[in-house]
Amino acid sequence: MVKLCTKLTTSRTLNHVPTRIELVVCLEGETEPSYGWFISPNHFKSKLEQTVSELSDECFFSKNHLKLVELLRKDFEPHKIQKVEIKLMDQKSVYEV
Amino acid sequence: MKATLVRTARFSCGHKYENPNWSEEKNKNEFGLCYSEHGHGHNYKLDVSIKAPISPETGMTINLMHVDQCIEEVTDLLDHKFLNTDLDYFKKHIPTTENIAVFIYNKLQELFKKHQVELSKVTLYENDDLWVEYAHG
Repeated sequence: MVKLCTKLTTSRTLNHVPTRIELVVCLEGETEPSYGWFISPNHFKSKLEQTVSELSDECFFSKNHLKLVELLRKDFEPHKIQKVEIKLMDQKSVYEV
Repeated sequence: MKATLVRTARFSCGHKYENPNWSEEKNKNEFGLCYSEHGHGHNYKLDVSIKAPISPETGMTINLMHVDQCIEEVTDLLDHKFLNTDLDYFKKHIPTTENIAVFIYNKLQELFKKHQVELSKVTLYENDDLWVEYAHG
């Protein structure tokens, strides 16, 4: 079994502040010898980008990311979702009057 | 007490994706730009993770000099090569990131046996946003 991982960045709004998010997703599968992979990396990346673009902000900021994992599971069946990591960068708080 | 040591190495090589049992059309459809006559190259980054007890005598899991020798022995096989034609292994295996990671892992595992340390995994980065992790079993 090998793990194929990709990283993408997106921007979402948290408390009215645009927040940069880094998402790492790893799939696990058995390499298909005739392809040399278990999933096309381009398909993996483009499908992930599409799913992420359709997700609500809440999905990224909930504590357990279950909604995102559930969607990714459906997207990439029968491959196993091995890892979903979300990093919030440039996060800042804003005081508004 | 065991610790995991991770050493990073870099190498560059060229490849193309092609299944010789498929028609040109199917190769184009499945592999897209990766199926091109002259291939293309990558600057790969390799993380080698080694798990071993910390020696009370040296304070190390393994001498880094030995780690570097083993890694160089393997990356030298790949560096500045066109994988499809320069290495017999990739005449039978399409040189995808997955298969290159497996190739590296198997070679390193043999070399590290001499030093009685366990290769826990290799991570091969094709670029910043795509990588493969492989560990046997």
